[in-house]
Amino acid sequence: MPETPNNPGHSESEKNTASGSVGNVSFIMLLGAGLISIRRRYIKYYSGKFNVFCKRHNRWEIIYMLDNKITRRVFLGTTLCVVTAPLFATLLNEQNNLQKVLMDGQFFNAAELTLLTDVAEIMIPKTDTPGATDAHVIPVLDGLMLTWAGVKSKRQFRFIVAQINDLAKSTYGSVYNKLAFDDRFLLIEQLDKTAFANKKSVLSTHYRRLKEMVFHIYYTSEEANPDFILIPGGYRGSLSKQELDTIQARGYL
Amino acid sequence: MNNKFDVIVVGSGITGGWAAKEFCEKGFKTLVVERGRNLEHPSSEYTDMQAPWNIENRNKVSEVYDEEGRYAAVSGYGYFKNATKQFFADDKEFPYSYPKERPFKWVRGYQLGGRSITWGRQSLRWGKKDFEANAKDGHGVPWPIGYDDLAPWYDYVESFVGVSANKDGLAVLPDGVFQKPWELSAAEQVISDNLKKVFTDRHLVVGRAANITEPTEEQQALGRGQCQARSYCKRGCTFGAYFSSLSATLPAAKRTGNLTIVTDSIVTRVDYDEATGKAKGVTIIDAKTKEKREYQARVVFLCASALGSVQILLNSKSKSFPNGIANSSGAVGHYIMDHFTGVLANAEVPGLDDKFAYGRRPIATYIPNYRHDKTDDADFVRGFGYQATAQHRTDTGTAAKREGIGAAVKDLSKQPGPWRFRTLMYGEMLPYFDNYASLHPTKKDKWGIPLLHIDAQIRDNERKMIKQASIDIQAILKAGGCTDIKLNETPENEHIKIGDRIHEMGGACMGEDPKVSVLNKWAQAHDVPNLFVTDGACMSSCATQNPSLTYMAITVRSVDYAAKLLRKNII
Repeated sequence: MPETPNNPGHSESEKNTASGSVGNVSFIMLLGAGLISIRRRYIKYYSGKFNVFCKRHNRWEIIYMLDNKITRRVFLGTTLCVVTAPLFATLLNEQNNLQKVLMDGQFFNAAELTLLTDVAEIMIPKTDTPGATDAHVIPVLDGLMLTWAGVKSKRQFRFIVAQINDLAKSTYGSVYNKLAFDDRFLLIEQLDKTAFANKKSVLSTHYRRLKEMVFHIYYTSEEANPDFILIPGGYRGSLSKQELDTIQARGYL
Repeated sequence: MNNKFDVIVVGSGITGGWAAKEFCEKGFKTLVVERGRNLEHPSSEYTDMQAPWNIENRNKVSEVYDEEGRYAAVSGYGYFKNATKQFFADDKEFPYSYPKERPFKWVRGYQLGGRSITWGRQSLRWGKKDFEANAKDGHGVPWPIGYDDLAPWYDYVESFVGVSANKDGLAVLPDGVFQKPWELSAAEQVISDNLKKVFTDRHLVVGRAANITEPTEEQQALGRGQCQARSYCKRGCTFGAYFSSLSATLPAAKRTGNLTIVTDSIVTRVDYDEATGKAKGVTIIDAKTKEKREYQARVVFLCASALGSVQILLNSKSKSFPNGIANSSGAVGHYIMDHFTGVLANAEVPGLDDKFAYGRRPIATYIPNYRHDKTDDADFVRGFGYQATAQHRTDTGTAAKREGIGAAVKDLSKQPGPWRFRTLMYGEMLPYFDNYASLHPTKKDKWGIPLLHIDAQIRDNERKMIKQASIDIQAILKAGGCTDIKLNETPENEHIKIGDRIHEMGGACMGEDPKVSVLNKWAQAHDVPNLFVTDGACMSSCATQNPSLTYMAITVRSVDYAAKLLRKNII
């Protein structure tokens, strides 16, 4: 009999899982001690890996870090930012290339997080530089809804998710999360154009708020600022690119 | 606790710290009374060691504050972020009053060290003409001191503070005791060089920063280190690299063994002894318990900020001074001033695509006032200068607030853009008697202290300056070699909030004549010989330079004088 969240443990089937059968299950972040305890019925740490209980397969499965270079600094920073940071596990839906978030966050539910994660990645995709998912934009946003957002913003951010779903249904006859990637991309691309062409609509207002926050979180992330130097050591106002690159590489004047 | 001291200093900000240091080092038992909470240095409230991704809420101030109507005076301003909000007073908790049609902005910092934690650090001497202006054009009360009176005290203060600056040789901006200056950027240097070819009176110089670049032994002994060019000063500086009461003067005072500090103690009044005709001390209300206490001293220095000191003076009523202590002239609360702006301009500096900057210089550049003397094209008196910067080249920004998503848009974001030079006019507001602060007749704060009501506005002279500054900056930018000039001038019918530059001054001006001024040339009350006011309240005019350095010089000069009187038992 497989173990359940109410009866955490490790069985032989789990070891089989560990051999790689669920390699497309990923773990977004954030690691907050408080939430680990809240969520411990669903997530556990074993043999140096995080495990999540998969209801679909009714078994524990290993989850992998999306970002392999989460440093102690990021860890400390993000836990400072969101003390009860959420653990988001995702499962890739290979049919429509959608990372499905498996559990509710602190503010958004799993379906909302799935949509938001996808929208953020469409806005700022991974290229040769990290994308929104790499920069943990939506987990941070989920935390900010509790620590930063006022009543109006909370309403707006939840409402925009519903509005995007409504848009998906009216355009493609299906909720957003079930659309093919190309349709999702076209939908958000068109929404972006419309939102800035006509700023007076409620949809535009809500969408632009979401976009602004997604971009703010991304561009204040460590992933988006690889050249940031906390302590420059001095100021130089007239450098060649080569001189600048040399100092940047050194990390100090 | 002993409640008798030689000296009471009210306020621990930039002037209170200096008064405490000087009196303590001269051997006087000194009490500093601070209305805000205690802070240590370095403080756990400093956030200067946090990278952008480490700052709580990604540096966004909680929206709940807006919903609750808190921090309204500072909400939305660039300096009020999550990383700095702890150093600003919440005007909902500490209310003040103004006419509905003329909002006044009173930015305060209620903690040990006051606003010295968040000040702009631009440390500029005033020139001779600045002290002569009132007498020359007849506005306000003539200054009882001139530049030469303050010059040695500027030297003294700069040596201790640590001012990194260039010796520019300009009469309008006298040189002082400086440490190694910050360098101009490539773009700023081009403009500075070009201006010299066209003008003899308009100069672009690097700012003069209270950020140390060559720590002296004295500074190092206080635990202060060299500025690391982070430009996170408003978050507090763990290195003590910029001057504040917390990093410099209060530690210097503490090591004498003569300093006592009480925090969370709101001075409600200066107590006046009718028999001796002197101040006998102060009454405070404990901010937490609302318990009243009295402290006594031979001398009281008010260093509670310009408007803070005015509020205390007006609230210190007695038989001899029914309208507030030291107010026989009726001038207490009058001549409220601030610098004002009304012109923002920015322009491209072409031809520098191969140049880049590194680090975050903690100071801007400066175009000093060149219009002290009325010229043919001016229909106003006094003048203006510009705070300016092009310390880094611009970048292409992001699509956060414009159309565009996806990989192509992302790849074009945050790419190096052209150098652009941004300028902000800083005008001298005339000292108008009708710009005044008074005690609200009915409204009180939660400690029962009448609210300060501030009614101040710019008038015709300032509006004319804005028009001229708009014309001038275009000429300056063109002469500097700039292109694509963009100008933003405040419309004539738009109220410009006084206090917006956070350089509020006046309210207890200095002057020779006791009938029209509150303080004499020593910033000593004409009416009460052992009462001194050495913060921004004492200013008789406001010039165009950032005023803190002048407050500091006035303070140490006054302390020196008061100490002599104390030793001679005159006060």
